[in-house]
Order: sequence, then structure tokens, then C-alpha cells
Amino acid sequence: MDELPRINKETSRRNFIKAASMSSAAALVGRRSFADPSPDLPVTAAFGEPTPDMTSNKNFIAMQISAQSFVDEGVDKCLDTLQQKAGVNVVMPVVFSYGWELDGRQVHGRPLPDHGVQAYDEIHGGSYTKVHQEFYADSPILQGLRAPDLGDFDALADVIPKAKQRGIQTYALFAEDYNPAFIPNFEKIAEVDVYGKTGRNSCHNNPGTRSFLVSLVQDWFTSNDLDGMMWESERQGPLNTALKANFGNAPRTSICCFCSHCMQKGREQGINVDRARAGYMALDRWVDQPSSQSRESDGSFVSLWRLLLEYPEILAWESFWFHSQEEIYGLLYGTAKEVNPRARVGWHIMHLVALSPFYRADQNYARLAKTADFLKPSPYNNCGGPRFAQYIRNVQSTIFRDFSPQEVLAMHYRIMGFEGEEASLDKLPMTGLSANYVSRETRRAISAVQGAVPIYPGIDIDLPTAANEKQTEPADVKAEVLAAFKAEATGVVLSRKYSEMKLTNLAAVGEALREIGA
Amino acid sequence: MRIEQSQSTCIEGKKEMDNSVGSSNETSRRKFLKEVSMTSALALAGGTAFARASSERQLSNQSGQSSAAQNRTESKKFVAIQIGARSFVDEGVDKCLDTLQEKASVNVLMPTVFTYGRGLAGRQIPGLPLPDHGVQTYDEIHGGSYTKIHPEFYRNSVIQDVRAPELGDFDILADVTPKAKARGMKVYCLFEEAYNPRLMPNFEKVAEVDLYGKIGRSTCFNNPNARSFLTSLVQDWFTNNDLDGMMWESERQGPLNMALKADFSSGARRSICCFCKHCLRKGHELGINIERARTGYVELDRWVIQVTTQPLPSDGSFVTLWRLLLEYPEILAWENLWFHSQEEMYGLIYGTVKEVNPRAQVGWHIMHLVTMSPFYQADQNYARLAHVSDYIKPSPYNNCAGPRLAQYVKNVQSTIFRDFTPDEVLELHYKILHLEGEPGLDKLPTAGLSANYVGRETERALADVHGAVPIYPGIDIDIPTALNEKRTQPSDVKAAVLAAFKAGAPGVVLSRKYAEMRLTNLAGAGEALRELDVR
Repeated sequence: MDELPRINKETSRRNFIKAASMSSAAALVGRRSFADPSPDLPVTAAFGEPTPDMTSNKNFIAMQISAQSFVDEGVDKCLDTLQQKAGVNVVMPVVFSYGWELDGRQVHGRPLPDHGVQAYDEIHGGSYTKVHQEFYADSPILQGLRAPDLGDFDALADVIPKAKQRGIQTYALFAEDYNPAFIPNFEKIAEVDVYGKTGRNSCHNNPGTRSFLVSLVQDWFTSNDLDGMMWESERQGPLNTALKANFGNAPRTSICCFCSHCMQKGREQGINVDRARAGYMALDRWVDQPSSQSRESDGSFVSLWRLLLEYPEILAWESFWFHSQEEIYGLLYGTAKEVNPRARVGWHIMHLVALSPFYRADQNYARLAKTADFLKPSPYNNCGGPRFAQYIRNVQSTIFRDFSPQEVLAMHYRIMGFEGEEASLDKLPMTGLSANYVSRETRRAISAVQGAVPIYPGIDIDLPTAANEKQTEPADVKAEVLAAFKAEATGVVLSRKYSEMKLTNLAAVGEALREIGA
Repeated sequence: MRIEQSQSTCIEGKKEMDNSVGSSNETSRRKFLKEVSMTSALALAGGTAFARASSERQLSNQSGQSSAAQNRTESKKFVAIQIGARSFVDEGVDKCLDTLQEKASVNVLMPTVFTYGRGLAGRQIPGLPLPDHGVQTYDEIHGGSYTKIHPEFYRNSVIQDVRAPELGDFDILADVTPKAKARGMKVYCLFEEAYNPRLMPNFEKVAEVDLYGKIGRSTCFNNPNARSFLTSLVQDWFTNNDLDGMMWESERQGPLNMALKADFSSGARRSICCFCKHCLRKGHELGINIERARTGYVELDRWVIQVTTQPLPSDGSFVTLWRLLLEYPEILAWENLWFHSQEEMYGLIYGTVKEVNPRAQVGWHIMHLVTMSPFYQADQNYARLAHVSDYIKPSPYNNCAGPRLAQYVKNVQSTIFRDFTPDEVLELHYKILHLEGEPGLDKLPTAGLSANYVGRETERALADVHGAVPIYPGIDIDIPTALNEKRTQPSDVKAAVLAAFKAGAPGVVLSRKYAEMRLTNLAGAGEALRELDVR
């Protein structure tokens, strides 16, 4: 790349980031303080006309796959297997992540699948494609970005040509999964929790974060003939985090973000940030003191609702958080389109959207569709069993202490519309959820976006569970795929990563596709 | 801290009051109103934008000291009854008082001094069985003040002549207080926010305004004229009568709960209030985006219409409602503004009474809904209310609770809880409200709720106020229900009174009004009190 184009490109990029930020801010400030739930706000128009569905008449059969699989099994062999076993026509190589969920081989301790190297690996993480420094002039993150674990193997440059030869499209897949210990300057883009502690993830409103993400996307799309991308922003706002409305089992999680950028932006939007912070501290105390006098006498729900009434800023800050996340979606969307207007950009929506009504309320598919070419909800039904059970135990310990865990589960079946899912809490981890769970979430998403973008539900193939919990069977996979298409999805994303899937289960995808003539 | 400031102002004001009821009195009142308003505003703006939760612990200690110092209940249990002027006129003051003492050991009389509603005034509601005492025909009521109006107290009030005409010159305070005192009974005047705008010239000048700009049927807490009017009433009564205390009933709730139909009325639509210019200005000063608040409530109203009239959306009712609340946190902020403004009114009345008579006991009736709706229960923070009261009367009316709770469940099932069946919504509420063991929805209207419900609410209130003020639960005696619904029996009354005292209440308020109570049921209270050896 010569000097002049780089300067032009950088100038262009700066202008774009500025314009995108201004456009986001204008969308927020012009109509209201926090957000716009209206499905017809023409945010997409700011970035140009929507691109057509590039899969045309074909169904979209995508596979998430780590660079390690290509290295272990060979690019050609992997692609052949994916095509032959599961009719894959879109490959989603993981280009950037520091997490086991997408990188590497099987998670340690879980049975190795029936393909690939039969040994566990260690991962460092980072970029699994070449880093072109000229794109990172404005990014505080650059050094050490390239993942060292696979040598010079490039998950894009070494895969795309071979995929294209087979008629397979390539979508870069990356996740917000960082390891601050391996990322110099990470503190410059990090979120800050309610008590002032630097967190392990980036802040959506930090200009450094935005520059870094823009750099990545510009680099990948400029340097490679990509057909699209998908980003995974697997986290939620401070309210849901504080209330432990997740399926993790950590005793405490950071309540973010209260960095200087967020606080300044919050003030500009008319939020009383001091009240927001005080509210979250009070909420944190409420969570930590289940036996406090007020909660004993008034009960959990009443005392929590009272707290939310006393501090409406708690909801305001949650709303502020996920609208900031949506701004990042818009920024990435616009960045990819700037380089390649025909590239398709979509968002993985984490599994919790199909478990928690609180996260479901945050994630408004209709609004997300305004800055997306497709959405991938993740109704992972097999691991849905143990995950849902853990989620229920978590929220029962906070929001729903007035109820028994079994009652909380029954309540969630109702709220989430899970009619027919009858497993009790003790059985749920072993039974998992049914394929109806996949079709319900697919239909819900399709109904929400009203045809604006296609919905490609994620298909759970061997997502890790404990040995005594539900394990994926071929019949499960086939039923999921059939359920997704029956619900009128126009594609699926086989998840989470090829290196943890058994080929026998993968083959069930092909079987389902043949059955429906897809 | 603000309470102590108010009280100190009140005591100084009392000296002026002793000298004259004329102009100096008005100066004092204006000064007081201004100071109370400023104190309230400071309390709101200084610590927080919307609330003063942070000051609760600090105030709790002060309230506790105040409570002990005033020795509110002396050594006797507090056995009060609510009674309308019509009963005294129909049956005679002496006879009424004799009956109340003999049948139910009443030692605190709560004569209804101001209302336009049938809940507290008049005889039995037309169509319902007349009780076993009093005139055996139905009456019509006009409503207003059942005590003499002294115009000099109303010079700054836009509402002037509110004397109820239907009972001639009978004065429920002047004609009753001396006779009650002669029997050793205390007199607490009782009044409520039940207005009839048609019969009150200038009512529009104190009225709330709904979301769409329509004038409402109640007053706005933030309207200076409404504050002035209530202050006038209270000053008049306490200056001209030897009252021992008072109780006010503010039986309404904020815009969020109203919009969501979280009540036990059966109407199709509710007014979403208040969006008058005073509230808008105050909201703006408190940092609330008032246009967002208004838009949020319009969206909420639209959501309610959709969810109650159309098939359930694909996301269900809870998720879509929660999403709306996240989009418009101002909805919660406006609800908060509403009930904190109500609390300011409590503070204003409290301070006004104390200005005239620092020893007078001031308390609040908390409407029945507080025991059914977790949303209203969350609004009504007994711990905070205790800062501006000498006692609190929650209203766990267990007999009429049957049909009322059934209707409430039907209402909220149609909005917030459409993801659930009505039976599930009831069970969910029993869990949230800790009312396990009460009847299912099919039996609820005819069975009512048990006396445990009275005990539960009493215990909850006592725990919340943490000894700062006494709790006197209301006892449901013949509160109207349909003929095929739960009707009060003597054993119900006895059980409710026993439950209240067993839960630690130092008193009870026999409710709603003597004119609708059967003597056989009233005697149930007396029986319980004798069993408890309370006299």
C-alpha cells in the first residue's frame, strides 16, 4: 500500500468515524435522550441502501470455525467436510478472539470430538489474520495483537481463496472476548465499574475502543475479499449484570460502565450520573443483602421495585448501555459498508436472549435490524437445559426470592412463551430444551424484524455441558435444523465451533437439509 | 432533619396564633407554607433528584425519639372508629357514643369532617342492606365540610364555601367533641380526597390535569392552590376545635399504576395524572425530561390499549412492557415524582397541624390497595411516611378483599401479566405478598381473605417503621360487597382484631363508617378486645 492512498484512507476513516458518531448522537439527541424504539428510523439510510441477500435463492448454511481447525485438519479437508456433511455454503472463520468459546480445539476436560488432533491445546488469542499496521494509526491497541499460537497461518488469506473455489462465502467472525494481560494499553479502552475498578472488557463509548474496532474491520475488509462479517458482543448492561440475570455461576460480576466517557455522555443526554451511580451502589447492596430488614418484611419484588422507583436512573443507565452497544453495531456496519457496500454484516445475539426476559427486552431485534443485514439469535437448546437451570437459580437468588426456584422456572416458561417445555428444574440440565425452543425464537425474531433482514438462528452442536448433563445427539441437531426452517428461517449458523462438534452430529445437519430439499 | 425544622417553625407560629386568628395568622401561614415548600424542595433537590431515601436512616432515629417523647398512645390501646355526621344526626350524638363504647370499647372517635364521597359520608350505600341501627332508609349526600367554615382561614384559598348543606347546622366537631371528651374519648377528625368538582366552584384551579390535557376530578399535589386549600381546612379545624388528632385519606395512586390498571376498580379507562403546569415545572426543575415523560406515558397508554384489545405480541406482555420502561425511564421518574409529591402533602398537613397544636396526633390512612398490589406497596414506603406522621393506618380489609383482590388480579392480568392465566397471577401475587394459603380465584370473591392477612400487613408495617410510629390497622366491618360475595360476620371481625393485636399493633381503626356496620359485627370487635383485656 503506498503512502498517498493510506493518507486518504485514514482521512476518510476519521471522517467516517466522526460522521458515524455524530449521526448516532443526532439520532439520540434529536428525538429523545436515550434511544429510539421506532422501527422506521432511517439509520440504515445514513450508510447507504441495504445490500441484497447475497445468498439469493440458496439457504444460508454457515459454520463457525476456529483457525486451529484449519491448521489441525487442513483447509481443504475442513471445507470438504463442511460441504459434504452439512451442506455448508458460508464459512465463518474466527479472526479475532481471546476466548475458548470460538478459538482453539475442544475445551479442556470435555470429550474430544471424532475429528481433528486428539489432544487439548492452549490458546493465546488475538488476531488470526495478518495485522496491517497502517489501519491502526488511531488505535491505542496494536502491539501484540496478532495471535502467536498458529504461526503465520492466516484465517482469512489462507482460507478465502479455497472457499471461493468451492462456492463457499467467507464471513469474518470476531468476538468481544479480550485478555487484558495480553493486550498492551488495554486499560485505555477498558470499561470501569461502579466502584471505579477497571474492567476486563472495552467501553462502548470510549473513542479508543471505537477506533480499535474500526481499524480491525477496515483492515480485514480492505485486505481480504470478504463476503461479510459477524460480531459477537456477548455481554449485557449494568442492571441485568447486577441482578445476576445470566447463566454464569460467578458470585459477583462487575457493574459497568462508569468510565469518564460514559459519564460525560450520560450527562449530555440529561441523565443524572451521580444518581445513576448511587442507584447502582444501592442495587448492589440490595443484591448482597438478601436478608436485610426491608427485604424480609416487604419481600424481594416489592423492595426491588421500590428501589427502581427511587432511582429511575438505574433503568436509564441500562438503556444508555445497550443503546451504546447499538451505536457500536452501527459503527461497525458503516465501516464494513464503507469498504465494501456489498458485504453483509450481521450480529450474533447471545444465548441469553432466549432465556432471560430482561435481556430479551434490551435486545430489540426490530431496532437492531436497522444496522444489520442479518441477525443470528442463538436458541441453543441442548446446552439450554443446564444454562437455563443456572439462570433460574441466579435470578431466584435476587429478583425472585419470593418464589421457589421451581416456581421461577414455571414463571419463565410463561413469560418466554415456552409452552410445551415441561422439564422440572432438577431434570432440565439432563433433558435440555426441545427443538420447539429453536422454532419459537426464530419465529419471534422474524416477527420482530418484519422482513427487514433475514434471521439465521444458531444451531447448538455439541456446545459444552458437564458430562452428566444433556449431550447433543444427531437427532437433536436434525430436529433443530428442521425446526428453524419450519419456522421460516432462511438459513442457520452451525455453532459454536467446528472443533467441538462431532461429525456424527454435523451429519445430521446434512440429513435435515436433504429432507427439506434445502 | 426537615421535620424538626418544620416543627420548630410550627411552635413559633403557635404564639402568633394564640394572639389572633386574623392577619398575623395569615402571615404566619404564608410563611409556613413557603418554608415547608422550600424544605421539601431542598430535600428533593439537595440529596437526590427524586427522593430522599438516603436520609431515611438518619430521620428514623429522630422519629423514634419524637415518638417516645410524645407518648402518643399513652398506656391504653387505640380503638378508633370512623363515623359520618349522618350517624350522629340520625341516632343522636350521645346514643352513638354510648353504642361505640359499649359495643366496641371505642376510645378514639374519627368523625368525617370533609368529604364528597359515600365511602365515609351518609348512610348505607343505596341498594345494599341497611344495618341493624339508624334510620332505615337510604339518603342522598351532597358532601363537603361537616363542620362550620370560618372564612378568615380561606382568604388565600380559591376554594371557599364548602359547607355540606344536607345536615343543616349540625357541626360534627363542635357538636361532638365536648360529649366525646366528657366520656374520655379522643377526637381525631377524618377527611379525605373525595371531591365533587361540580359542587365546588373554582375546582379547576386546584385540579390535576391528565396526560392528554383533560382536567381531572382530584387535586394536584403540586398546585399551590390545592396546598393552600388543604392548609386552610386543617388550620380552621384545629384552631376552632379541641381536637386530639386527625387522619387524612389520600386514596389514589400515581400515573404508572393507573395506566397499568393496577387497582380494583372495573372501569375500562383511567386518567393518567398529573401533567399540569405545576407538575411539569417541578419535574423540569428536578431534572426530569418532561417531554420524554409525557411521550413515555402516551406510549404506555398505547401499549395498554393494544395488550388489552389485541392478540398477545410475539414478545409477550412482560418483555414488551419492560422494554418500554427501559426506553422511557422517565415513566418511573414521573411515578416517583407523583408519590413524593403526595408525601410532601403529608408533610405540609403534618406541619400545619403541629403549628396549631404540637400535641395533636397526625396520621395517614393508607388505602386498601397497599395490601394487594406490589406496585402500590412499593410506592408507599412506610419507613419514609413515618417521618411525617404520628401513626399510620394500613387497611388490610380482609372481607371485601375477596372481591377486590379478584378484580385487581383480573385487571393486572389484562395488562402486565397477560403471559399468565388469572389463576397464575393470583398465585404469583400470593407469593410476592406473602399471602400463601389464601383462597383460589374461583372462591376468592365469596370467601374473602383470612385474618392472617390482617396480621401479615400489620407485621410488615411494624417491621418497616421500626418502632418510629405506631401502626393501627383498619378493621373491615361490613365494607360493601355484592350480595353474593363475602359478607362480614361477627367472627370475621373478632378474628381480624385478634390478628392485629397478635401481630403487635397497639391499636385498630374500625372501618369504613359506622353507618354501614351492623351492631352484631361491631360487637365482634368488642368481644375480641375483651378477650385481649383491652379497654
